[in-house]
Amino acid sequence: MSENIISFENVYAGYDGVDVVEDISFTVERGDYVGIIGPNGGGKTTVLKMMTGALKPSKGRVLVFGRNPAVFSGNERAKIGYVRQERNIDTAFPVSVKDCVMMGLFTAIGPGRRPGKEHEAMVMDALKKVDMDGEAAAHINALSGGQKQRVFIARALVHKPELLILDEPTTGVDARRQRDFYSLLYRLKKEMNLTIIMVSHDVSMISKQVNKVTYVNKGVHMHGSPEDVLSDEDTCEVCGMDREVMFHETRKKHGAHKHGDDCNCGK
Amino acid sequence: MEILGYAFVRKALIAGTLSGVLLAVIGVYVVLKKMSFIGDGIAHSAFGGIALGLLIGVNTTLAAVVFAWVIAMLIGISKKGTKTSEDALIGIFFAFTMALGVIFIGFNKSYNADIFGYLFGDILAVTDSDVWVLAGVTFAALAVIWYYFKELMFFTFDEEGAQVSGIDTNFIYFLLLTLISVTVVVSIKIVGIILAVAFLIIPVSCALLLTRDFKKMMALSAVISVVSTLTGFAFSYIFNLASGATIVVTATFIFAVITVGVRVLRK
Ligand SMILES: Nc1ncnc2c1ncn2[C@@H]1O[C@H](COP(=O)(O)OP(=O)(O)OP(=O)(O)O)[C@@H](O)[C@H]1O
Ligand SMILES: [Mg+2]
Repeated sequence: MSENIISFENVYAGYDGVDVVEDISFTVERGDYVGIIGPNGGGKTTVLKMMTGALKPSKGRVLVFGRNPAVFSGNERAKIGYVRQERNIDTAFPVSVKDCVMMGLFTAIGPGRRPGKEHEAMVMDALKKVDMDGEAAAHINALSGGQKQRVFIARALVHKPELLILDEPTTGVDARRQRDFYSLLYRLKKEMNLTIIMVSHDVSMISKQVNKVTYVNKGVHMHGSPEDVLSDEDTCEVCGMDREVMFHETRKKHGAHKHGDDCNCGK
Repeated sequence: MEILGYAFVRKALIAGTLSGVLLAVIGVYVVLKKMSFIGDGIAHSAFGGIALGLLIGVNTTLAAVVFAWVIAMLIGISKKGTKTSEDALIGIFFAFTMALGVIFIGFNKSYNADIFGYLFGDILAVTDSDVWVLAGVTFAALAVIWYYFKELMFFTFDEEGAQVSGIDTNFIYFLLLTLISVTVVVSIKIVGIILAVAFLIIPVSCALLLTRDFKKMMALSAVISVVSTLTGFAFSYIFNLASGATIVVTATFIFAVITVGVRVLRK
């Protein structure tokens, strides 16, 4: 029996009274790896914001772990790790890489208390996972964009969430690290029994990694297996992908190619 | 040194030190969260409270604290609930409360020349009860900051990230507004309404140039603030200048020296 971790039921949402996504319905089950694709301004980030409870739908219902995420308690929120899209937050802020990742544990530590040795160890552990432990003492401002991104991924993982939500996590990360990152995600997913939702424009990667694809473009919405969603005319059109390539990718995934633990496609 | 023999001088020094520490510590959040304008709006709204206090004959500090706090809450609530931008809202409340203050003063037949002291500060007019109130508020505010240190820091650094990770960001936001309103108002006797915001900002801006560690920066801001308050006070006493203004001029001078100094040293 699979458990629904997220369900959207006829959801409409937007800003200042204007809906930017309409009539979205889909479910995510425990252990799913969902890729969200769609054009710029299509509403991908808007959908993620509803999962975290940062934005309430104007119509319809969003449930995460069976509850409305907008009224989550601290403990419930700690089940989610979120890496948002705009990571260009105030670079002048005086904070080190280690302190930044530590923030991910603040809810668990609770008010009035200071982080202890065990928390330090968790932070270093998370930094190791993203290959940034060497930079632990550096000031956040001294990092490159891609390095900053990895620090924020470490922050999303440090409290060992069940659900990891990533908004374009590999933008600005070099090709080698992107590959590393995808295999890392896949490994973490198994190790930590994660459910992953990831927005990405990298459709060919999506088709290799995920088991569900959600396509969001304002009123248009599709959700299903990668081969169904990615072979659709509209989706290909908007993603600017060559249909042949896409078919090839999806066939590769579901065809002859066998995936093993050490197979380098990350799957 | 014989001036220290005067009780009013001792009181001025104690009050100056307390408010210097208090404003600098709160100023760290005001500057890093880019809330200077809201800080200024709250300081100005205290004017309405002071005028009301004078009119109905209650303690002006108490009246101003309540008034400024109510306005701060109104700004916070309407920021969350309307389409009007925060800047515009602050401007509206700011003008409204100053206008109310002027009307209240108009009602007050026994026109009180003290108003000038409230606008620009008069450190020599500090009374015993002012010192006690200031000491109590400083202690309470520092205790609250100590207790919610992590939460305030995360909120200031990355509000959305903090919310998603389970920090009650609404609570922290209103807590911060409360801290700003209370600390600004109790400091008005010393630096005045018009100059209060300078006190929130200048020491922190100096400290930001000197360190990249959050805690060190907070401590350094407090030191710079106290140094400028005491030096400014000495100048104002010796040359018979307006105390609040002299303190702010001194602080600005220190800021200029540090800015130039840091540039020269980096070359
Ligand atoms: N805070 C906001 N206030 C007003 N409108 C917004 C806000 N955030 C997004 N929008 C609008 O909502 C629409 C969808 O935005 P969203 O950020 O969800 O798109 P996206 O699919 O994530 O795009 P991208 O690929 O560029 O990240 C856009 O038209 C955008 O202008
Ligand atoms: Mg987006």
